[in-house]
Amino acid sequence: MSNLLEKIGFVFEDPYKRAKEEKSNGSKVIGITPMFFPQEIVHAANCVPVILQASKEPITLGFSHYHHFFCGLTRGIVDLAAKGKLDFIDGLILSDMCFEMRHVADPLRRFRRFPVIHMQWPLEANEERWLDFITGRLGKCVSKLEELSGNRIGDQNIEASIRLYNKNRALLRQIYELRKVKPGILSPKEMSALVISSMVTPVEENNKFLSQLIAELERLQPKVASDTRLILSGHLCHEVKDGILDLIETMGGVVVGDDLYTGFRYYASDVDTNTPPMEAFARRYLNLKIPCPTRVDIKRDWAEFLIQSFKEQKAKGIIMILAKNCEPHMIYYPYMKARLESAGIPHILIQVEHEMVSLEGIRTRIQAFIEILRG
Amino acid sequence: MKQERENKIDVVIGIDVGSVTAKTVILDQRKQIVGYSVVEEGLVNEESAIASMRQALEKAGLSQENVKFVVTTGYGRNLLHFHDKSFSEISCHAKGGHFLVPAVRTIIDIGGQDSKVISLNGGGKVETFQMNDKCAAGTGRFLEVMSRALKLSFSEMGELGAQSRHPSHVSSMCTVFAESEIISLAAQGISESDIIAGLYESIARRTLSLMGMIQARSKVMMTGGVAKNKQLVKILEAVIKMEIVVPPEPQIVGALGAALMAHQAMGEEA
Amino acid sequence: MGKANRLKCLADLGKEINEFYMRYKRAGEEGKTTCRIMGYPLPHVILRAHDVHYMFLPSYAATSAARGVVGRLHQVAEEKGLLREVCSYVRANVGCAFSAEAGIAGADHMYSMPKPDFIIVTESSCSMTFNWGDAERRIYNVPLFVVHCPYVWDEADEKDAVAEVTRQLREFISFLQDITHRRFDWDKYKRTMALAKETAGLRMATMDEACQAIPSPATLFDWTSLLAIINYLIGLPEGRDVALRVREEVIQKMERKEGAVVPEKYRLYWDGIMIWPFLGKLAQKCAALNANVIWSRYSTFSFWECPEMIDLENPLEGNAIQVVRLHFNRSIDWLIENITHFCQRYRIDGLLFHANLTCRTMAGPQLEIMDAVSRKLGIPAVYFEGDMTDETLISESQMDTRLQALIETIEARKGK
Repeated sequence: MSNLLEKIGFVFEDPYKRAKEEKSNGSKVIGITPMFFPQEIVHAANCVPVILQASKEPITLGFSHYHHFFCGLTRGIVDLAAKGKLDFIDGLILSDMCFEMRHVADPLRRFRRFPVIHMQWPLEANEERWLDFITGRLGKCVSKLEELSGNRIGDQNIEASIRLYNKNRALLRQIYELRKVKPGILSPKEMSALVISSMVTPVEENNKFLSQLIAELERLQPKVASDTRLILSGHLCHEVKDGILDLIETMGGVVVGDDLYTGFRYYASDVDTNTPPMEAFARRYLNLKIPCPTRVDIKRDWAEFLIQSFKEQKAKGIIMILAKNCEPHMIYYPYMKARLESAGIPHILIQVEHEMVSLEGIRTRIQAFIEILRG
Repeated sequence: MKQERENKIDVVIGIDVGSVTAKTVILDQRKQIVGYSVVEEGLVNEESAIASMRQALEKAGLSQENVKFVVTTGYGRNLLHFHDKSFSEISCHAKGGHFLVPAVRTIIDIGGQDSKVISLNGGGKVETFQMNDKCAAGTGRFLEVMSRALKLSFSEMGELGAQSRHPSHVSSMCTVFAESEIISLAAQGISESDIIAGLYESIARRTLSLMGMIQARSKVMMTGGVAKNKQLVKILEAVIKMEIVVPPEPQIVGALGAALMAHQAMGEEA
Repeated sequence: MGKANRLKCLADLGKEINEFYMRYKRAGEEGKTTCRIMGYPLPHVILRAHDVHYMFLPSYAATSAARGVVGRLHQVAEEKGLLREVCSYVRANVGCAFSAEAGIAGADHMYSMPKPDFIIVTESSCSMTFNWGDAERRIYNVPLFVVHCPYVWDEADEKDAVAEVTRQLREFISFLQDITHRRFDWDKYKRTMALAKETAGLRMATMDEACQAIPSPATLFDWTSLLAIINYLIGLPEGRDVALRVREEVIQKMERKEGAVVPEKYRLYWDGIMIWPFLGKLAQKCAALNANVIWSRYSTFSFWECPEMIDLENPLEGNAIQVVRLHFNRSIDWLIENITHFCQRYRIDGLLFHANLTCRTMAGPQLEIMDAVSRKLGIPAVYFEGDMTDETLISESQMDTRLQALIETIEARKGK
């Protein structure tokens, strides 16, 4: 199995490797900023969609374009763009669901290295008010993408792409279910790698890979040394780096569930194939399975979701991972804290950032938390 | 005869390898402290941890052979290749603090790089804890930088601070910026004692924020090197409006907790 | 060493603001409809016309900071788990929401505010206001109405954005009618809008004339104080009267060639929100260096910045366009072009950037603006970090050093 996982080992060091290969084979590559924008639309335009990842490099040039008090994801994107390391993309879809991502447009538009298409999401999960607004906006993106790619994007193309991506998400969910029952089959870092592979490799290839992997995982009977079952929550728009996920298991916890971006959050919700595509995308955005703190949502409650997960998974504790300067998460946190406390659920908040200032501090916090859970 | 008897006793050791000092506590089978040491380090490393352990053993008239179990804690806890177990400093401070004062429910530990507040239950178990954010303001490092800037030792700072009638206001949360803030205060002719008292109040406010997050309750104990500064403790008591208990050797509470963990682990293995 | 000579007629604004809060609290006690607004001061005239009392949350935070009482509110919020990186306006208001629970409600009259009947988010390119509104909705357990202003990526997008916001304002009025069980009085709205238009128009015209004058009779510290006539008094005769008094004093000073900084040797542009706890102190610091901070996009491209677009026969659309044209809602090219234009118009010598650590919306384009505008104009720029209300994030000595460095650079370049 480790051979199979090695195939996607590149996603941490050089996530754009496959996209660049496709580019040199003559395909057009369209970058998409997290979150929400359907890769299906780019795929239907016969381009290779690649969701931008957290930068692996120290931020240097980026500092002269973007303040340090923005989240690591956005600063990393600006930094890479400034260094020319995103020049392999033919265009960027700026999925605007947070002002920290919105303002990335400021330096990027001045760099003029690739066209930027703006997709603005109204931050209220209310179908009545926003369905038409969103389908209208998505329609505008489709037109701009048609122009950029030189290809017409018909509904049939999009529907075909939706089926492929729904399949991809279903495969990832299958693995998630397997992990619930057999927590040792994949480390949290390996789970994260799978999700990232879906974001940065062509979907046809990824579907084949995941199917093969499932066959192998089903055969595994791993021993799990720990019964300190944990749920990981948060880190909404990019991967948790620096071995923090592995640290959690090294310190004696076992992850049985999560709602991380490079985790369940990414593949929880499918696109309805019985609805016209633009409307289906809009409805999915407005009815996310995992509530998202970027928007107002009267019907869904993230804290409630997490409490349910905790009970279903028979977990012992929740580790909330907050990307430093992620304002939607920070503003939601007091409510989350109060709800978990009143539900009697042990939890801890870990703050992580692009420039890892103190891994030792995080190690101490995680170890202390696990010691508390063990009694 | 006494020498012989002592040389035969079994002891356990707790070593707290912090960012500024390495501390060792040696406990016998009746959980009595038979020796301890505090050693200053340059950078946290295995040598100072070993040196601390050797010093404590020497003071107790013992040798490595008497040592049956070693538990480490602190930032450098994994550096020592011969430890039997390691625990977080949170758990160790709670253990040590509860052992010294069973009624303690909140521990404030201001170390070299870290400040933490720990909330315990009646059984000495950690309920919850908070640690300072990336900012070093409110830690021993902060005071170190200030003492250098003012060209005073810690005890001189303490004495001068006690004389203040009008503590100045130091608002910055950043150690780096706070330094330039006090330089400009000094340039304005504000007295050293008022500046120092202002610094202490700044640390106290930072600690108060941490305490507020865990709903701290009495009895409150303070541990760590900074607890030896009586003036700072007084100001902290005034700011948090609760009495603070400071054990005779506040720096070794973590190591004591680690030693108690070792004692417990040995008992479990027996 | 220069002296500050700010507008005298603004000295009474503090009283007006106090009375505003007294009225708001009384309305709460008397069971009148009250609401909290986070975002742009968009619905004020609508609410005034419908006799709904409002608390405009950014102003609440600013006023608390100016009065020196915001620290405890921040502390209460932090104890609830709201991290210090969060917008300090949010922290002040969440602190206020929990003031009773924290036992500080009685410590200052600003600390106790009535529970609102509803909350309205008026977002214009500050996505954080949605999160804020959602948080307060859960704290107070009251209905939340959201106005979302489409971002004007290119100027061609403006027309649709205005139509969209106008539509949402219409929805808001239905919401208001439902929640108050009263019909909206469109005639009263038109009349109130007329006053609003006049007040905002006076502010914009007076500011423009004053900023062109050399020496300028006023400073940015006056203009930011004057924002009270929009945030607190818009649509009221009192607001218009203050604007008239300001205009009168400004004209008189211009006739006497009396500057707000004596002598005025350097004219500066400020970028960023104002530092509310330090308003007076900042004015002194700049004056001591013979520097007058003339204008900012904060006061010129915001707060009912295009009253001339209001057609009183179609007031809802004129109301909507104010939020669409907010500078937050503009592209980087628009910002650079217009800031450059007004710096030329107002003969600016140097650019001072206040990178407010907890307002990412404001700070986002700053480094690009700084680079582009200073190059285009050939004038120096510096930036320092601070915050609009949180003193723990402000380092005065840093500010002093950089301000002084800016002045020295301007002087050196002038000498060439």
